[in-house]
Amino acid sequence: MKAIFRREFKSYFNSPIGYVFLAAFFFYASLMFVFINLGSMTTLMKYFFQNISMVFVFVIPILTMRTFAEERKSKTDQLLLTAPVKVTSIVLGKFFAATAVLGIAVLSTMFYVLVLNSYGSPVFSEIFVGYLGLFLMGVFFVSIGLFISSLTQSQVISAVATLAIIFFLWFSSNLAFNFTQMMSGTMMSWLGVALDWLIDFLAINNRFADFTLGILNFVPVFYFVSLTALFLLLTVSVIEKRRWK
Amino acid sequence: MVEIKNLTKRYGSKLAVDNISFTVRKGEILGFLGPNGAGKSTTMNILTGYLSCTSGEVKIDGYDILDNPIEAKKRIGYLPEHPPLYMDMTVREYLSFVCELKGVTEDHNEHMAKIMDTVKLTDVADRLISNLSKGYKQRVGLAQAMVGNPEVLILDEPTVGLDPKQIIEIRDVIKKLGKEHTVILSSHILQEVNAVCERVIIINNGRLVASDTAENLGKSLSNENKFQLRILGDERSALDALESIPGIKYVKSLGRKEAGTIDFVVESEPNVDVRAAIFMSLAEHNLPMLSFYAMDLSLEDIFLEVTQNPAIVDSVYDNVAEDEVEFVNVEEKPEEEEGDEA
Repeated sequence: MKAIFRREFKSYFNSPIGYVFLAAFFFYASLMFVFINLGSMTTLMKYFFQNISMVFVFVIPILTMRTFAEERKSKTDQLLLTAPVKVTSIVLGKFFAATAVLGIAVLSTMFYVLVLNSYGSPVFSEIFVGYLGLFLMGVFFVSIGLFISSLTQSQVISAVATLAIIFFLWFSSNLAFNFTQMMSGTMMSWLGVALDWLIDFLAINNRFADFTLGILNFVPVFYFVSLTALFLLLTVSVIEKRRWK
Repeated sequence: MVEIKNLTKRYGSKLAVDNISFTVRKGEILGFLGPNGAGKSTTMNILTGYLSCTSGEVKIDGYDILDNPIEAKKRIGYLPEHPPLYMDMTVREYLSFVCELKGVTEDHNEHMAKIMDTVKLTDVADRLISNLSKGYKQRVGLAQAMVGNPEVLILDEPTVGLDPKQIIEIRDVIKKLGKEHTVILSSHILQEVNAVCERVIIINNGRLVASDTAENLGKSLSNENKFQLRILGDERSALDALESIPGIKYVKSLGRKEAGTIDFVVESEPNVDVRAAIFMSLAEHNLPMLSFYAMDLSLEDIFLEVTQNPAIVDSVYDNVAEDEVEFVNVEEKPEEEEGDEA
C-alpha cells in the first residue's frame, strides 16, 4: 500500500493534474474568501464552507479521473494485479494519495483563518468543525470518483460521470418537490414518502449544514465515513470481479 | 513448479482456452507456441492471476493462484504483451517502485543495479521511460519481471517488435535467466522457441495441439524432405533429370526467377535422403545447380503436420493422461484478436 501511495502521490506532481487541481481550487477558494469574508467583513466561515463544497464538485473529478482509468488504458494494472499485493491495498493506496492532495488543498486555506484572526476574533472550535466537515465531504467525493474511475478506461468519461453524480448529490437538497404532500391521499402516497426520504438521504448538504454551523454531530460523521467506506468497497469488488468476466 | 490442470476460459460463448493441462518443471524453459489469437496471452494472464479461469486449476510451487494468490504471485515475474510501464517515471524510479511493490527485502539499489546490468539498462537508468525506444521499453519490462528474483518468469512475446540485434540480445538474456529460473515464454515464431526453449507446447484455437521437446519437434520436422533448388538450364530436361531419381515424391516447377534458370520444389518420400542423388543426377545431365536448400516450415505447416500426423506427438507428455490430448484440425483462417480484452 505504501508503495502505491507514494507512486500515486508523486505522479500527481509529475503530471499537470496535481497542479491544475490545486490551482483551480485555490483560485475559487480565495475568490470565496475575498468576497464572502473580507467583502462582508465577517469572521463567520459558514458561507465560505458552503461555497467551497461547491468548488469540490468541480475540482474533485480532476483529482480522481485518472486513478484507475489510466492504469487500465496503459495496461499498468497488469503490474499491480499480478504483484503480491491485495486489491484492497491498491485501492487504499490510491485513495490515500488523492486524499493527501485534497488535504493539502484544504489545509492551505487555513491561512485565511490566520488572516481573520489578525483582524477579528473567529471562534476556532466552530471553524475546526467546519473544516472537519469539509474534509469528510471531500473524502467522500474522492471515494465516488475512484469508484467511477474503476468502471471505465476513459478519463473523460470518468470525470464527467463523477461530476454528474457529485453535482446531483450536492444539488438534491434544493429539490424541494415535497413529494409527500404532492402524493398524499392518492394510492401512491407511500411512494411520495419514500421519494422524499431518498432525496433527503442523498442530499449531502443537509448533512453538511451542521458542520458549517460548528455543530459536531455523530450522525453526519457516520454518514460520510460509512458512505466513503461503501464506495471503496465497491471499487475493490469492481476490480476483483473484472477478472472473472 | 507450475501445474496447470484442465484450464478453461470462456468469454461469453467464445472459448478462449479449452481444457489445457501441462506441467513445467523447475529450471525448465518452456516455449508456448501458437498463432495470434490462439489463447497464449489469456493462458498467461490466468497463470499470473490477472484473469481468473472459468474452470480448472493453476498451482505455482504448490500454491493455488486463486486460493493463495499472495504466495503464488510472490513466485512469479510477469512480462505481459504490453510492458506495464509508467511513462512519467524514470527507469530507476520505476524499478524502485516495483521493488517496493513486490516487497523486496534485499537492498533496493543493489538489486536494481544487478538487474539493470543483466538487461543492459544502466545507461538509460535516469531517463524517462516515455522517451525510450521500443527495445529499451521491452527491456524495462523484462527488468520489472526480474525484480524480487521470482522463481518463475512468464514472458509473453518478449521479442515482438524488436530489431534483429535486440532480439538476439533479449534471447541471450532469457537463456541466461533460464539457468536459475523456470521460464515460460510465448511466441508465434518457431525459430525463436527452438533457439531458446527445451520443451515446446503448441496451442491453437485455445487447445493444446502438441507438447514435446524442442529437439524432438525439430527432428520430426527435419523428416520433411522438402527442398527448393535453382537450376541453370531448360525446364523440360531439368524436370526429366529430377523425376528420374528414385524416392522423389513430386517435383514442382516454380518458374523463372533469374535469367536462364528455373526454380523447383522437390519433395522426397519420408525417410529417404535424396540430396546426393539429386546432385549426381543433375551433374549427369549437365545441369548446374545454383542453389539448394531445405524449405523452412512455417508455423502453419507445423500445425498441419502435427495435427495430421499423430506419430509426431507420440512422445507427447508424461504428466497428462492420453485422452486429454486432443488433436484438432487447424483452420487456415486467422483468428481475431486475443480474447483478453473484454
